[in-house]
Amino acid sequence: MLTIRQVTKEFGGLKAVNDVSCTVEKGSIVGLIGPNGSGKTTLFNVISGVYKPTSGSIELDHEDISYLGPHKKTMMGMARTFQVVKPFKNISVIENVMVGAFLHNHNHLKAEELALSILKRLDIDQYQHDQPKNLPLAIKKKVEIARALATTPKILLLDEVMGGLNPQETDQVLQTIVKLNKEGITIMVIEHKMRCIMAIAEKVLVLDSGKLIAMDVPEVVAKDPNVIKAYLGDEYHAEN
Amino acid sequence: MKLLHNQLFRWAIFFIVLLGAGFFADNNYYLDILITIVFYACMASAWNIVGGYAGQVSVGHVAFLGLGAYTSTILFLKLGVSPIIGIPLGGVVAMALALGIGFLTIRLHGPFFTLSTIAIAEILLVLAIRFHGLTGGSEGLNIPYEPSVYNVVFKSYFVYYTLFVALMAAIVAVISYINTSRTGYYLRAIREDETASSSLGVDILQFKLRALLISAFFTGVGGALYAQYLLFIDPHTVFTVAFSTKVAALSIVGGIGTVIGPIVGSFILTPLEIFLRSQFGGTYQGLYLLIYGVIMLAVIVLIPKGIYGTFVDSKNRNRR
Repeated sequence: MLTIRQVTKEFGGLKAVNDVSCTVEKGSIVGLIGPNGSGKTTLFNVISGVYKPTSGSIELDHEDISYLGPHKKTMMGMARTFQVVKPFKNISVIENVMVGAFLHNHNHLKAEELALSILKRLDIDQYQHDQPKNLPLAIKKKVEIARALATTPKILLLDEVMGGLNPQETDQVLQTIVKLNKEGITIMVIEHKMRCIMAIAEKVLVLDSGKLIAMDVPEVVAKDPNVIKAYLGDEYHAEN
Repeated sequence: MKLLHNQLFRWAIFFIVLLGAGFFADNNYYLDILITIVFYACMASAWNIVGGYAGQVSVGHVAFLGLGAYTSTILFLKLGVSPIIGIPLGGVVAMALALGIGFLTIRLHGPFFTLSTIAIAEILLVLAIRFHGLTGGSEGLNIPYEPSVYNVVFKSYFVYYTLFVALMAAIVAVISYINTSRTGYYLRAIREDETASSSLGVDILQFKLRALLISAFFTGVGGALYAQYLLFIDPHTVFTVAFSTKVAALSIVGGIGTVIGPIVGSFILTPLEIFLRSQFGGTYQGLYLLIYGVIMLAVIVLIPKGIYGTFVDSKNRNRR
């Protein structure tokens, strides 16, 4: 569904993403992990159109979308959330979600109907009239997912939606992701917590200093010496 | 009582009361005050579309006002075209300018956009002075006082007043529509967070440009109509940046990003300004500006959401 070919993103002399190639199959959940600063979010930004790739190409359903702006990619069925949540603070939760819903429903009532049904699906409809600035982080993250879902995506990019959540909240979000996947949405997810990724991902990509150092099923990736080295450093690796 | 909760009904009452007030104002001095209030309410509302909803603070809106005023006046004086056509055409020409400005500046953010709008207004000021043959230069242009419908010049102030109230009704209708439509939601989203908006499929440039075009049209129409009322325009009255800041101030004090805010702002600040000027204008030149400035500062510091915005907030809080 999503094919990334030799994508590189440079900032000045720094290669934040260096020659990354991978594919995301339709209907799968793909995890993207890596230490801090390894280029995970940059890769997401390149895929979703916030940045243009320096070189390489990105295809969605065999269509080249490398240089399209973010709104056009959303139009084609790619939605995302942000690591640092970006809710529209001064408008209500349902209005936040309606902004997404308006993409394919120009009618006000239809957009509202869709927004409400998504809030219910994520179990946050009781907050619909609150402003996100007054809500806890876990709800804000769900509002972001809801907003992205309202654009009726084929593929959903989730950037650390479980970061900063407590274990119960994390489990809730995990279940939500699995549920959405079962409904047919392909999901690519950045996550720091290995436990979460292991639980849901069918394939895991590991970035280190912008390079893709491993790409396999979670069980294999977890034992990959390169991955352990990247996460824990040379010495730890040497001791093992 | 259910009728009272109907927005349309409330606005109808508001405009009838407004017209009634003009009808019973028994001298031209009061009518002039009413006209000024309604004119600034129109201009602040038009500014609010781009400054309030889209969050693009323009301080160059006077460019649209001046262009509208000059378009209809020049067409009338040089070609004899009736302002009945000239006034809407003034709006269209202002829109064309907005399109040009949009392509150049709409990508700019925050203060950079604001500064570029000032620059454009200043350029038009200089052009209006320089193109003496067309604009009459610094001496300005006089519209002869020959009352007739074709000339859109009237003996009675009440007719002008009715025209301004009609313009305001049109602006309110358009903004009310935008408010609940996709465009309104997108503009508010853009104001809150551009990156998040574009990730939800919002074409930021297109919607900012839409807002600017609608805003420019009404400002241009208002400028052309105001020229017909004053019967005189010169570069320093219709291209002064002070107008733009005033219009922005009215919206901010009233409450930006709401339909009612700019109207509230104009209905409070415009009479206040006229009152202060008449009280202190003679003896203490400029004192009214000082008092006006202090009030502005107080509002911005104490109630940044403006008078109406704060009112709505407290109402919502009480409901909970």
